[in-house]
Amino acid sequence: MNPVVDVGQYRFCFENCPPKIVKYFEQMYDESLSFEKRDDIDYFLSVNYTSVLRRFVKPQVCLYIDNQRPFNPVHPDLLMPSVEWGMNWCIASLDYSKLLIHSSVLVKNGKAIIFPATPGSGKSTLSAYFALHGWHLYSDEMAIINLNSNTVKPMHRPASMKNKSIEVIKRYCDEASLSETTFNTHKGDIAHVKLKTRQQFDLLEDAKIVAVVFPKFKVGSELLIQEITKVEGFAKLVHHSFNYSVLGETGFSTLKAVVENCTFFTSHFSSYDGMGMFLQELVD
Amino acid sequence: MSSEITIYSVYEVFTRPSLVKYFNNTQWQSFIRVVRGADLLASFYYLLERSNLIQYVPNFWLKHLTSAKTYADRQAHQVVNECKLLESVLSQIQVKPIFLKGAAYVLRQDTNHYGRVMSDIDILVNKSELQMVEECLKRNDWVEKELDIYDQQYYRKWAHELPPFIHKFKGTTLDIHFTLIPPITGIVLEEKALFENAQLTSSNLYVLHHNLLVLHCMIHLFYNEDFSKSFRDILDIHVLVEELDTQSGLEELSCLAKTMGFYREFFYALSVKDKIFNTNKVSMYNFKPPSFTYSNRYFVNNILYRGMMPSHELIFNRWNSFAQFILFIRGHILKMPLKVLIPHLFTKAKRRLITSIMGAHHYEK
Repeated sequence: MNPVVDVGQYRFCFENCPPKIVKYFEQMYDESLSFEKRDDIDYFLSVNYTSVLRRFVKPQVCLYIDNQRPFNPVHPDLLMPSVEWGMNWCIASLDYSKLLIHSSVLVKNGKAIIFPATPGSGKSTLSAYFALHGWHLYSDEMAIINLNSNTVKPMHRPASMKNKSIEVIKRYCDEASLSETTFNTHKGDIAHVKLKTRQQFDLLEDAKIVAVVFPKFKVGSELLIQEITKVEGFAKLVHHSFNYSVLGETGFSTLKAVVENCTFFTSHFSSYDGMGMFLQELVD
Repeated sequence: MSSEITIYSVYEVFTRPSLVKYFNNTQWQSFIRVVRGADLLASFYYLLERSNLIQYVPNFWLKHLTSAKTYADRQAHQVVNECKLLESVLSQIQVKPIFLKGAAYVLRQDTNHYGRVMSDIDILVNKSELQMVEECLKRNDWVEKELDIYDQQYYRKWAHELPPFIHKFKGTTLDIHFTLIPPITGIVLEEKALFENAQLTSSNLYVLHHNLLVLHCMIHLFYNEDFSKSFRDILDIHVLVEELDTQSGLEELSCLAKTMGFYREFFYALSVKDKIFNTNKVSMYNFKPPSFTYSNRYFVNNILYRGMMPSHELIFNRWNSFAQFILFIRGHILKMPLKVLIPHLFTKAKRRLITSIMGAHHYEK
């Protein structure tokens, strides 16, 4: 039977899924993974070899979503991160019922802080670190904001670690929750870390966004936190949004609800020491 | 209707959308996948809306349909703006482009434009203006889309067309044509016939005369190389013809098709539309087949009918992919003089062989 991954908001079914990926799902998704035939799947992702010969010689696989192929083919050994990216792609390109911002989301005391950033700014590592230190991680990749509101939804998914951050996070989590590392993908070495069981996830509720922090990790830099204006914050949110322009007026009124109810900061950091205190104050 | 989605039931549902009332979740799930694969999810949303059937869509599936609609609505909005910008760029050299296909349906607000998504904007300009247009676009942030050398050669040398352009900052793709049929066919259409009856839309931009617009869609259906999106084309033809028919324009369309030498395309397109969507335009107007009746009927009922289906693994079988292969070959034979066709097919066959060995994306950058 095909594995079905239920992340809370969405259900994904994987066709022709290699056993290695199924094992990965078992490790990361526990009860969110099932193998029954269902009739409420949002998105189907098929793993196909690009040709018969390519099954045996220089093997190459590709991910298809109903005739669409969002990524270039990869060697089967590099497929693991692609299935996570494939799920992201489905949400970002096919769901226009939520405002999506390229951002990680941390929640404490029912209050959410979102960290919009481009890849390489350290948002995933930061969010995984705090998720292992008392915060709830709602997503390490996108803030899923209910339309015309300032509330954000949780997803039951692992956090993605890149290159050096794998070593950093290894120090704080147990071995069982860290996936195998996939080396040399086009984004570097990738591993995933499981942060919640399904049962823990089921206790999470939509949370109000109280602050937006634009993180920038820089080796050796002092912790520097600056408040920025709502206008500047608004423009930055638009820049980091996946689908703001498609949502039109609804996108605007949603962002307006977010902007009116939160404060904005930029933050340069090289360690998490002072950062924790600052974030804590925002949700007290 | 059986519980499995088949190509025939896809045709059936687009013909009688009220069938969705009897869909169970398994059928919804498969149907949404096939229609999404054919880029028609938003078009289907609007078909249901026009038929007052939205209330029968379970919320779970409605979410998917409305998402697609949101995207398509936004695109339609953007297309109008892009067309206006393009018109103002080309006004620098006093060229008035005629917008074709998807962009034209949006500008004309044709019924089929609702929910119809497109990947590029097509314009028609005079052949003598091509070089000027190319230079003007390049001065205004448009660049040639990167193609592999073989395809680039195909465009410039054999097809005598400009390669597609892409906007540096916005990523919009633009196809520039100077005629309605691939120039490689050697068929020359009188420029006057294309331009003189162009219509001005409410947004003050030019589109083809209504009859010519429908005929162009019919021609495009057959001189195409890629039949995987043919269902959208035949759906366009269906909706446009139904609109035209209420204005008693079908007779005129058939005359135009005859005058321009495309009666065969007109007849085949109308016949397969009749068969797929259960209409009877051909017999109602008593349009005569262009040649031997038996082979025509076989071609329409078997090859075309099967070849028009959306290609999705859930409904595709060998017969259907064979039909699309026949249409692909036929499209090429129609299009190219032998001295071009043979080397082209040879190269394509070689490339197909190599991709079948090396994988589908061997030639991609």
